[in-house]
Order: sequence, then C-alpha cells, then structure tokens
Amino acid sequence: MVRFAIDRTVSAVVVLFVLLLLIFTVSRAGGADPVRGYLGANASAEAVAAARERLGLDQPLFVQFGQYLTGLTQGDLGLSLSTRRPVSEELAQRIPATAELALWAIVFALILAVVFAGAYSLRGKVAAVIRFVLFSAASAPAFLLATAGVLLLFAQLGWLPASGRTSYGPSDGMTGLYVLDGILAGNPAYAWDAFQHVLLPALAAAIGPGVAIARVLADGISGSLKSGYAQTARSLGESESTIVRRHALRNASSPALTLLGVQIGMMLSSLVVVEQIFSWNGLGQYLTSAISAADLNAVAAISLVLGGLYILINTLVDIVLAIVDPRVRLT
Amino acid sequence: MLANKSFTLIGSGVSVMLIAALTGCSASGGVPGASKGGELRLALLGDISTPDPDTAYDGSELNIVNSAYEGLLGYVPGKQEPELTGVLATEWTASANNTVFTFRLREGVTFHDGTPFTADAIQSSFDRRNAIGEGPSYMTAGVASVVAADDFNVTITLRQPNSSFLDLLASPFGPKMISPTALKEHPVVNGSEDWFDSNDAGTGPYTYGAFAPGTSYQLNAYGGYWGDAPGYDAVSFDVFSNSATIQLELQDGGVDGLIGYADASTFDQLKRSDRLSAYAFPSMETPTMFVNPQSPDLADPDVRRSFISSIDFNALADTALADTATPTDGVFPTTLLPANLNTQAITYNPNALAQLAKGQLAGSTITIAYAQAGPAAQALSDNLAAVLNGAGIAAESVGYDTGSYYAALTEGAAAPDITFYSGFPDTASPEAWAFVFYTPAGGLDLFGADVPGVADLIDQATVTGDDALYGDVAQRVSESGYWRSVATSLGLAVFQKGISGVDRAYSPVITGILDIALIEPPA
Repeated sequence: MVRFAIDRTVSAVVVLFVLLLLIFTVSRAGGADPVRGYLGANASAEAVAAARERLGLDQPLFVQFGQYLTGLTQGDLGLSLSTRRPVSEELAQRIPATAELALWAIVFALILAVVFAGAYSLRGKVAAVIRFVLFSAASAPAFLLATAGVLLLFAQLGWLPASGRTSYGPSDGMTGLYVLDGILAGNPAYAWDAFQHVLLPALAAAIGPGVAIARVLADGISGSLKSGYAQTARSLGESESTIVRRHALRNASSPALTLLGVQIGMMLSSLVVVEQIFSWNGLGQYLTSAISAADLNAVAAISLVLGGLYILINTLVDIVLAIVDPRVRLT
Repeated sequence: MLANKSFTLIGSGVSVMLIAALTGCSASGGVPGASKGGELRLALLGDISTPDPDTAYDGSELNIVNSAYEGLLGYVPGKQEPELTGVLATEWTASANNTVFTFRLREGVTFHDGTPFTADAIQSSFDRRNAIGEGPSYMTAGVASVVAADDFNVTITLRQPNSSFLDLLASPFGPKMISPTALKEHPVVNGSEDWFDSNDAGTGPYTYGAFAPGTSYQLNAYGGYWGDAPGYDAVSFDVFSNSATIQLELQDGGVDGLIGYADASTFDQLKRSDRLSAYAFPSMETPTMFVNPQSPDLADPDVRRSFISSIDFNALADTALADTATPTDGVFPTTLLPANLNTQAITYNPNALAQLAKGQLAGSTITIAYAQAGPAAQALSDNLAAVLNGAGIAAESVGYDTGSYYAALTEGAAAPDITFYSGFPDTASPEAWAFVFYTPAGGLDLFGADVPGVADLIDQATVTGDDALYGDVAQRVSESGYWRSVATSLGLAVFQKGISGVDRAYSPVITGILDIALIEPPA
C-alpha cells in the first residue's frame, strides 16, 4: 500500500510537470498575448510594451516556466491577467463550486446507473423502448442535454432555475458547498434553493456517464446470473435477490468501477461546457474565459487542479476496486 | 451491511429530493431572485476585471467604477453631441495655448469615507494614476503642476499644450477623484492585492457593496451624495457566461436589464418582446476595416484603393449590422468632426469588384480576421467574405479569440489581409481617435500602417485643436486605403418595461456604459 502511494505520487508529479510544460509551450507557440486584454483595447503600444516587461512576458519561455515553477513551490500561482486578481484567490472561490457540481453529478450518475441497469435488464417491447431512449440520452453530448433542460424545465415549465448557484447570494459557510452549508447552518430554504440550482447542471453532466455505467453493470449482472456459481447458489436455495446482491452485483461492479474512473474524467471535461451554460462560477467557466484571454497563469493552475483531481479519482477507484474485488492487487 | 443500508438511505434521500425538485413547484419560482423594491439587477456577460478607477480601461467594470467615482468634468449623458459638463468642477477655463487650465471646485462634496472633497484630492489622485502607469495613465502623465489657490480653486498646468485635456478629464476612462485619506492608508504597492480592487473611496452616487468575483457585484446608494439621489437603493451586476441564458432571464424577469453585447439577431428578438424595452443609443464606436500593408494581394496601393472602392460599405453595414449600427461615410466618428471635413476620399465604384475578380485578385484568397468577442466585427467579416466569394474572389472569414487576435495581426505578410474591428476613442476628441488608430504608437493601428505625415499632423492638431488639420488627416488616411470606417455602432440596452431613465443615461462616447444613477424603478 505504501509502495502504491509513493508510486502514484511520483507519477502524478511527473504527469503534472509534463502537463504544465505542454501548456506553456503550446500557448506561447500559438502566439497568444494576454497583455492587450489585461490593459484594455485602447492601450498605447508603449503601455503594452511596458506591461509586457513588467509581467515578465518578454522573457524567453524557459525563463517564464522557471519563474512559474519557483512561484508554485512557494504557493504563488501568479496574477490572473483576465481578472487582475491572484489566481489562488480565484481558485479558492471556484473550486468549491466545481466540487459541489461534480459531487452531485457523481451521485446522480451512480443512482442513474443502478436505475438504468434495472431498465436494461427488463425484457419486452417497453424495455426495448426504454433502452433506445437511454442509448439516445447517452449519445447526446452534455451541452445538448443542458440546453434542452434549460429550455424545458426553466423556460417552458419554470420549475428549475437556469443559472447561478443560489438565489440568496453566495454562502459564507465553511465548506463552500452551498447545499451542505445550508444544512449545516440550519437553513433548509438555502439548502433547498441551492439543490434546485445544482439539479439541472448535475443531471446534464450525469446522464451520459450514468447510462454508460449502467450498460456495463447490466451486462455484468446478466453474465453473472448465468454463471456456474449462480446456478449453484440457486440449487442451494438462495433467493434471486440474494444472488444478485451477494454474487452478481459484486462481480459486475469491478468493470463498472473501472469505467466510473474513466467516466468521472470525462465528466470533469463536460463540466467546462455545463458550467458555461448554467453560469456556474466554477473552474470550467473560469477556464473558458482564461483560454479566450490567453490568461496563462489561470489556465496552468486550473489544469493542475483538474489533472491532479483526475489522478486522485483514478487512484481512489483503484483502491475501491481492490477492496471490492480481492483478485485485484494495487500496483 | 451498515454500508449497504447507508448507501440505500443516501440513494433514497437523494432520489426523493430529485423527484421533489423536478415535480414540485420551486419555492423561488425557479428564478434566481427577480429584483425586489429598490434593487436593480443587471446582467453582465462574462466576469469583469477589478473595478479600480486607475486600471479600468475596457469593459463593463466601468459601469461600476463610474457609479462610485467622479471626475472634475464629464459629458452630458443622453445627448448624441458631446457636451462638457461640470461634475466635481463647476467652472473651468483653458488658456489660449491649451497649457493652463483653471477649475472652480464643487463645495459640499464628501468622499464615501467622510473626507471632504477639496483641491488636495486632485494631485494625489493624479499621482496614483501615474504611479500605476497603466493604459489610462497617459491622461494625467502630461500634468506639470497642480496648484491650489484655496480649497476650491485650482490651476493645472501641462508640460505640453494639449487641446484635448478637458476632454480627457471628461472621458469615461478619465481621472477620478479619490479620497486623500484612503490614498494615504492604501498606497500603490505593485504585485500585491490592492484595497481598491473591492473597496471604493469616491464621491459618486453609489458605493461598492459586496463583491463575489465571478458571481455578482453589488452597489449601494450613498446617502451623503451631493447630487440627486440615485434611482435605485442598490444595484446588482450578476455575471452570466452565455448570452442565451441572459435572454431567457430577461424574458422571464430574472434580471432587469442588459447593457450592450447583443448581436443584431438577438437584439431584434429582444426588441419584439412585450415585456421588454429595447434601446439603441448613438455612440462614437465605429466598426472599421483595416487592410494589411504587407498583404501579398493588397499591398499595391492601386489594387488596395480599387478594392476599397469595389465594396458597397453602406450595403455591407445594413446587411451585417441591421438595427445595431448606422452606415457612415465619415472617417472619424461622425460627432468628432464637421461633416465637410470628415469625408471618405475613395468612393464606391459598382464595376470595380468584377474587374478585380478578373484581374488583380483572380486566383487570390482574401483572409478576413475578426476577434470573436465582437459580434459587429464577425458579422462584417462574414458578410464581406460572402460578397467577395459571390463576385468570384475567394475569401474566408476567420475568428480569433481575444488572446490570439492582436498577435495574429503582427505577422506581416503572413497575417490576414483584412480585419474588422469595432473601436471607440477614449473621449470626444479627434486626437483620441486619430492617435490610437492611425499611428503605430497608438495601440490600435492593428497592422501598423504608417501614412507619411499623418503623425505630424495629429501632433500639430493636438496642440492647436484645429479641426482643419484633422480634416487633412481624414483625407490622407482614407486615400491610403489602409482604413475604411464602415458604420457608427449603436449602444444597445434592454430593460424591463416600466424602468425609466435609460434613454437619458447613455454616454455619447462609448457603448456599454450608462449613468446607472439615472435609471429609475417603475412608478
């Protein structure tokens, strides 16, 4: 276990270093220049040159990269040129927003996976229709589901809000997760309002992964139920639900969990679009505006956070996998 | 077993919440808080930079800055022709050589921290802008001295004559008066977070309230304001990341207003809504076509001029910009120069395009660039590409994100052949337009075109303020074929019906800026 943790940490550092190097190289090779956006369009050529020098953007790429790494080791992520605020301050505001959205999306994806797996297991014409609908939903990109959700549940029915995280203003709670903050503060109205706000974006991000996991789970359960040990269990008098719970689900969960890691990675990517559609003040929204403004410090920091998160999630999935399935060893 | 039960309970709980949220009517009506009573809720498309009075030089943060800070002079809002008006100055004079300016200051004004406004504030406010040294610092960089005869009479002397100085003071980006007390407590410190990022020390009708960067920015009415009380007790600028959601929120009543940003088709849709009032204000923003001097196809002056003459720019503006702009035959923004001095040297020739297609531009591909943030520039680029392709000249319209756009135009012969850019002068002075757009030192001479003699003419005109000299500039730059002003953009705004004062609140200089204090709730 210790060896596993060390290996994963070392590989994470290497991966994140390469990621940073790529970001710096690609952004500079592309000729992106954040200074005009930083100063304002009408800034004189002299003002632009002075700002470029002051910000160190006139330095060779390797010098800029070295300065960034030096700052990073001291916890300084630099200044966000698109907002003029420290990147660390921006991240502190936005990480909880993305975390809340991602957590709800994962919860919904797991619930949907179980429900959809049941639907996949059904037989008959109705089941075929359900499978077709689910397959179509899984094929739809998150932005399409998000847009359809906004048009139907906000614009037409007025059931759910279409933007932001709450109607009551930002939470001053300790976690930055608004639903949880509302509950911890004993303010159910705030928690409920925050839940309504997170519902549509989280569902838009969750449906695709939910269906994908459901299909793997359903196939696994179906295969397990036809296996020799399931037949043996039946002959020993175990009920079908016990066989599903004790044997089939456990065996089928291994590939489903592996897929969950991949799907969460893809879900993080889709959150960039989902946050944009729902004006959700998270990392995705910040990343979109930072890329447009060539705000390299912001792009690098967000990539570090998302890359680190992706590695962490996959590591956790590996650990859970080893716990659920004793045949799996952590390496 | 316990884990299984917990999972089941959590799953059931979440499912119940899910179903309840989807089937039950939302407690808040599903809308993130329509304005109540004295709060005006305005939509911002995209986050803003920190609203510091000495760095804000672009974008919507100016609506926040200018609500909390005031300068000595301003322009009368809601008037197309720019007219200087006193804000914190009540009287002013300029010497014949445009070097010495005197001001009588308004009495009875207090900063938001309670400090009385007197002549002391001028020097320290100018000093801060110069010390920060960013985009708008040139407005005060030429000040040689600020001498106060007493608390309310001041003489400002410039190092060099500048006929635009009063206009620079009146600019929406112009120097603001900041409490000397706050300036002492919060000096300029490079590289650290600035107190002025989220606090204000101005004299304006509103003070900065709670700021949640990326989410919302709040203004609160200042009870000690020297002028008429603002229309709303509070103003909230809520950040949205896409215009479609703003459109839905406007139609649903979730926000009260949107200033700027709409493209032609969106504006047309919003205009048709029964519950909304749409406004289109005159401005000095002028979408302009820039031609690359090093373009392999258009570097030849005769070909370039022929190309300019081949385009029916009025038709192009009508088609591309519809109700969001009016075509122009001027070179400078129309309110900056008398019409007889502000004329294009190259006129439209309906036969020129066909001749170019068969002749000098046969086999060429014209690349037209635009920055994706500007709907007017994109519409013009796309439509010009369509016109050229229709005439048999291959053309492509290419969008760049803001970070890449300016750099792409500096690539000489490899840069796009043409770009459209919708720019505005900093203030209502011909110099503010000509220097920025027609000289390489200006910053928005996008391809670095340099017409001999133009920079000298602008320098002379800056000293004297002689319109005839600017008329010469107009002739030379339009003859060169490097620039072609296409239209005058209208500043767009959409508000809920019943909200009043919007039509009296626009800036004659730039779009996207309103005097927020003049906006009033429905009766």
